[in-house]
Amino acid sequence: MHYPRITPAGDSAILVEFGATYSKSVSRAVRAFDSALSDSDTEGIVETAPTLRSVLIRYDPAVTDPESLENWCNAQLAASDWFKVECTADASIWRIPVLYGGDDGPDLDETAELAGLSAAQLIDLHSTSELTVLCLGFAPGLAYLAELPEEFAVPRRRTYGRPVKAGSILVANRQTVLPATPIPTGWRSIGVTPLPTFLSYRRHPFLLAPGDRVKFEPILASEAAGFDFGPYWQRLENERP
Amino acid sequence: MSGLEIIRLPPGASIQDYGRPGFRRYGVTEGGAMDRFALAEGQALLANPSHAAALELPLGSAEFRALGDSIAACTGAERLVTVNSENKKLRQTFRLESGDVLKIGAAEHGVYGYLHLPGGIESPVLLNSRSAHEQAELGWKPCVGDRLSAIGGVDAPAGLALAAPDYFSPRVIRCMRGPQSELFCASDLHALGEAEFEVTPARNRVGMRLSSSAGKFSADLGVTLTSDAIVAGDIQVAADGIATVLLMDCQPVGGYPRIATVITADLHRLAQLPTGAKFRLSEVGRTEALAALAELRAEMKALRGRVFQSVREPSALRDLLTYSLVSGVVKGDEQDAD
Repeated sequence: MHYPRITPAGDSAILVEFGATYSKSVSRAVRAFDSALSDSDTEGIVETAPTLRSVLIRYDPAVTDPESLENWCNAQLAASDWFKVECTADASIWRIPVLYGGDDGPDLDETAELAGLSAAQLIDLHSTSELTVLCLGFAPGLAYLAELPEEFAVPRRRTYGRPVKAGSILVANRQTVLPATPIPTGWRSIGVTPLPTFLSYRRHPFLLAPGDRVKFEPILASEAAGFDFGPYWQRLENERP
Repeated sequence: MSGLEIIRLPPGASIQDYGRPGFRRYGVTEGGAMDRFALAEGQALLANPSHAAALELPLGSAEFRALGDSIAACTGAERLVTVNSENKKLRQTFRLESGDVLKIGAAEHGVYGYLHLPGGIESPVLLNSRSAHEQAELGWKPCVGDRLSAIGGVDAPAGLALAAPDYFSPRVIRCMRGPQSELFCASDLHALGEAEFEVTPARNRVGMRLSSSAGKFSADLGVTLTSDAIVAGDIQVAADGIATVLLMDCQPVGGYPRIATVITADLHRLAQLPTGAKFRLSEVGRTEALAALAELRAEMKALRGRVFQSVREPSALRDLLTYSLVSGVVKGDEQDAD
């Protein structure tokens, strides 16, 4: 199959796929194309949503016909090599505090063992990696972040464990998943952040967006207890007027 | 004190409007009423704004006590509606006085029913919508003892009615091929159009599992797919070979292949199919799907102009007696009396 390709996804959306599976370059193309769409103000687009390998474009058929939209997308796809577009790193970094291990990071030791590291080394490696939010999905505000060093190429569990709490720091497949609501999961929980990333009552209810850069910072239990998340959400208000 | 106190509710009852587009990039699907046409009917009857929310009642019966005087209307699946044991018609506004007991029976035809109050039912607006979305922990799912309040601001009399729509019990649901249809073998794609499907009891706002006379489907997953975007109507085939139609509260992404997608214009017809109902799928192109959607939207828009005053509503009849019969015929000498 030749990528990128465009197919209808029902009668009110088209799907632009950049690959059958996730890879770094596929995901980069996805984010670059999604970002170009967001900047374009193309008439009739209701919303666009990046996934790990594609961009879904929902349109209002009363405003645009899908053929015009597909033609426009094809022209955009032909105009540059989206797999090679360098995403401008103008997004400032979110420094997200993490309480590693303990009751809310029960898989820390086992994950470190799988990675061939001590728990302290794993924490160090995890918190010195600069990650990018690839996309959000599966559950509201749940962020997929990559790419972690190859030590984190550990598999997910084969079965779902008990639900993890919102803010859990989950790892597998060189990615970190940060759920904003409690979810059942096979990902390995190595810690938790006291920073809420989804506040439904806010004007901008989601802290993280695709393309955002993130660094995790180890904190102590005493720091987690008194953590003030206000400045993070204030910054979001300032950056997304 | 005004509104309705909830005495009994079926499981799964929730507040719904047209949902919340625009948050998919943050992992939230649109959601909204399972039967958008029935929601539009209630809005037309009460002259409610199009963002007004209603109480969605799946299948089972419900009971309420009026805490004040109000107008209300029920739409959607066929049900017995009574106020203090007096029958009320579906798709017809009726009056409730303080203390009245409103009973909405179990669905006899179809699944989802809607209770509408003037101006819509009050509940918190989250992410631009009042729609409850259980997995997303958004919106309000009322419980017994809770109070439903009308937002008000509209003025509809009792006895306003709409004709019954004819979209219940469809024998054919239309679908389109999608990005993953080609992962299925030709015989599966052929069977999709030939098989008789049956709605199983495993159903909710997220999806509807089907059984098929063609047995199981199997996608060729020589290449392991990375999870991809899901849209409402997608017919997903899980590892067990069983087809599930994903509906309004489906997740935004999923890893199982989708063999086809039910067209938007048929989603409410599908959602109203009772458990055990049998139907066939018919494959259509996008042009036909969009023509059907344009027609449905035009029908929904035209509802407000099709509301008529029914003379059978007793409270409307009182008006009739007062203004036409009493003054015009029986009395007949207004000028003399002045």
